[in-house]
Amino acid sequence: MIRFSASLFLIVFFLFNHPRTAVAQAARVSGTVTYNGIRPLAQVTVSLDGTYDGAITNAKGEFSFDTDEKGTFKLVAKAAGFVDVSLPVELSGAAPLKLKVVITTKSMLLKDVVVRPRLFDLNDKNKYTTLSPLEVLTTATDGNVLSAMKTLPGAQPVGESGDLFVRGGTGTETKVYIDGLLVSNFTYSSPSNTAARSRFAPGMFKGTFFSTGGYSAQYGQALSSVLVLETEDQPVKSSTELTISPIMMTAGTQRLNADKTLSYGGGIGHTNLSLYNVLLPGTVQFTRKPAFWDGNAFVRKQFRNGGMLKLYVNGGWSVLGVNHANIDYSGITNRISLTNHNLYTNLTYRQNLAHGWKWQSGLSYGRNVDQTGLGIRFENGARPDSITGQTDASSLLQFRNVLSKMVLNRTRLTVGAELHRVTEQQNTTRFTDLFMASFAETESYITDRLSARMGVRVEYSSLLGRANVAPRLSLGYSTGADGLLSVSYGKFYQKPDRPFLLKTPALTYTSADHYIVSYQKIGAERTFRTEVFYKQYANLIRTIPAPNNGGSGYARGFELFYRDKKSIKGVDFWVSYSFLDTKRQFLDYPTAVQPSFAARQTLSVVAKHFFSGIKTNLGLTYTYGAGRPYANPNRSAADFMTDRLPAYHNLGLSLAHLMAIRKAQSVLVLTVSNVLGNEQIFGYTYSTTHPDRREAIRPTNNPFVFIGLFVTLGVDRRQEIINSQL
Amino acid sequence: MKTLLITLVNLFLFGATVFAQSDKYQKAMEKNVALFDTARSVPSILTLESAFGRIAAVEKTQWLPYYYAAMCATTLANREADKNNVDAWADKADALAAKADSLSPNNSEISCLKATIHFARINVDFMARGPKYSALGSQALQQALTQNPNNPRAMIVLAQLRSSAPAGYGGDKEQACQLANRAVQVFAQESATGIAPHWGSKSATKLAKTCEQTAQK
Repeated sequence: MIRFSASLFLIVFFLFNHPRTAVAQAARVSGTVTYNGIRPLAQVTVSLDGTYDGAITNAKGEFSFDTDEKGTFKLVAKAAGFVDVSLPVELSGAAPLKLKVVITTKSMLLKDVVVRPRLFDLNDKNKYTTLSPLEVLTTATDGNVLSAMKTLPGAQPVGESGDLFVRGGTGTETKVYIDGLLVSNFTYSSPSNTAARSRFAPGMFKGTFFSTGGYSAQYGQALSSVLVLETEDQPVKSSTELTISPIMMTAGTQRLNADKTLSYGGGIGHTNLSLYNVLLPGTVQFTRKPAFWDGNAFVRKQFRNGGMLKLYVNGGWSVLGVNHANIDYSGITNRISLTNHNLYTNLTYRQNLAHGWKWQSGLSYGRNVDQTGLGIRFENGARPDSITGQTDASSLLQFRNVLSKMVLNRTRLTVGAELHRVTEQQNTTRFTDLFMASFAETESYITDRLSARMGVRVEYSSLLGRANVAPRLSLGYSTGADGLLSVSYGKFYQKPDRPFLLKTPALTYTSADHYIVSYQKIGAERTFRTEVFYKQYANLIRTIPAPNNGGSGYARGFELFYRDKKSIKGVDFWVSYSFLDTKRQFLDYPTAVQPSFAARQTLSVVAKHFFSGIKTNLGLTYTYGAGRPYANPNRSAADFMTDRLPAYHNLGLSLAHLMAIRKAQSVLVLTVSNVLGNEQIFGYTYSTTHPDRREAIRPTNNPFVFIGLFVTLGVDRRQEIINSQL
Repeated sequence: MKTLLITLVNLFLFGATVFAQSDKYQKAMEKNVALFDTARSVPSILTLESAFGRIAAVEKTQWLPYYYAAMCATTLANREADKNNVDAWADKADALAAKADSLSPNNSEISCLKATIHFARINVDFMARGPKYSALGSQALQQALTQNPNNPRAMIVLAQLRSSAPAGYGGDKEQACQLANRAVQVFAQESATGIAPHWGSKSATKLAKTCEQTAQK
């Protein structure tokens, strides 16, 4: 019996193994894969379902393979960006099979990641200028996110303010969003006519998207521009970072758990300009040297269901005191003091829901208090009774909910709503505004080359007692592999700025209409973009006789941007040029004129090179701004704003040297703004009592030099595993 | 007796089918792994990547087809001239590696594969990505060496990292040479054929040689 079984086994073994090689003859299956029968598709995976047999198409869309299989099979063709095609094939043996596979439907759902040339890109971020955290760090010579943005087309070189002035708009017309939530005090508080830095370190953002107009319906309350910042997800590893500089010390730590689902950390920082002003005294006479204390903490938790929760808290306190000669009365000094308290919290959650919905939610609370003191000191000493104080308090509580889903295979639908509770107070005057906004937007492919984004945003402010409806439209036409021509239109509303609302709550929204035509060509190493824009302002705030919505204006111009990482080996450079023609009548302007914050021409050149031999990165940033207008009260109303400041030149230098201090990775940074020491004048303050007296507004320190050492200490002990083995 | 006979026949039939199937798998893998060992051109690696992918799709329980498909995708990421496409290949390699990992958890070879995928991503933007992905890659290598302290591929990949990265960012020439020499010893005892991962020997010999030359100077 055993012998019988054994021989049976041998027979069976023979039957099942050898006929295949002895009898079977390979049949050739070949053919072409096209899109709609016209365009051949390369790198399409063609396979006989359930077998090892198949091939991929070449550049002409051709494929061929041999198979031993017989019977009815499914031939499946898979191409990224398209819906899979399968057709039944009958394999009878030796006869070769010639097939024509036609793919007809494009898909935006990438089931399998397959590499192929980009056919189209519906990503809205395509329309933004994007900088990576490192690009921000090496461009901004002062570690300020906003400084890096100032080298991009559309931004104006306005040195007397830390805000971003875009395409003829004021600084308050640009809003900053962190993970979809509005940040109302992105920069530190500073006395008027001095630029303040960002409160947030560039390293905490993984993506920086700068839109200079025609932006999505997801954002609002910014007449000119939005800066959208996305925070990092989980850090790569636990570490501790230290910054040591004569003007600042910071220490921060981040911890990551073993399965990389939870991280937490925090940091403290102290900036003090005392030593700096002793070594390199600037134009400002400080009675109390600027000092800033900051602290932050974060928790990021990834849940099993894929949900991501992020909490970020940032608090700061700063003080400074300045002595300033009173321009109206000689022998009198103004003593100005400024104390700031700031709190910002941001809690966000995102998760993929059933049926393809993506959900993003956020809650944020921010509070800012500025206490300004103004004392008058006569030459014979201070008079306590002449000190006046002002307290400005603002708070913003907001909630945001966004849902998005792919619909109809080629369209993404996004709907959302936000709720803000704003309180503003100056001494005893205050107001509260409940602001609501909801938006819906679709992004879709109408044809293979033509894409459209259509959105609408509806807002309501309880303070203004009014609603508005803001439509947004953008059409894109792809020309070739990497060219994109687009036209955009959008209506943008913004509440009047705080000081006007405190005085006169009975105002309405200011508004702007954007019309933009742009063309861009984005290659791997080279980017070119040009935009022509027209912006029509309406209902701007006039302050004469009392705040009212009687102002108006326009801005038009064009911009060029070219970035190249290839032409000069190892050098990454970009050039931005902006031409701006703008006039507006607002505030106390007697007529419509080019405003003081608008330069007719702006040019920025940024170049970076990493010298690998000395492990040093060199960055140079040059900015030119044509002379801006300034108001001279000695002129008649007809000649208002006809004077021009000298042109603005600024060459910034940054050096970053990588090194190891006892195996801790360290970077030694030296940055100098205005290396050439060009005279920079941002405007003039005229005396109200003696109009012949004026005083130039200049940078507080020119040039400004920063030197600092950044040290990262890994707290990873895993290194020892390797060492123990050697 | 008759029932027993039928059962036995059925058993043998079944066993033979399984055997035939795995034999087919073995042969297909041997053929493709041999091609993988010598493949240099991008079209040949593309073809191999899809061939391993098809085997993986049929077999479903074998980790090696996924492993080799991921290796091919990583090579393609490294060979990709258009930097915009590097991440797509790396994403694909990651997805394949994750499948291999689920079929064969705690596998030192797969951890080592994951490290090479991280390193492939650095090429897109060396300055911006270097710190993050070299850290992730070196973590994956540490894991590979914890899972199997005698994995010569993890040793040589780590040695290459130590040799090329700047000090303070994972660079350590001395350790690189020690690792390379150890890898050469392990490779000498390993079979250079079969379908189990066996790549890396040449790189180890080359680096060990460079070390020797540097030491002589």
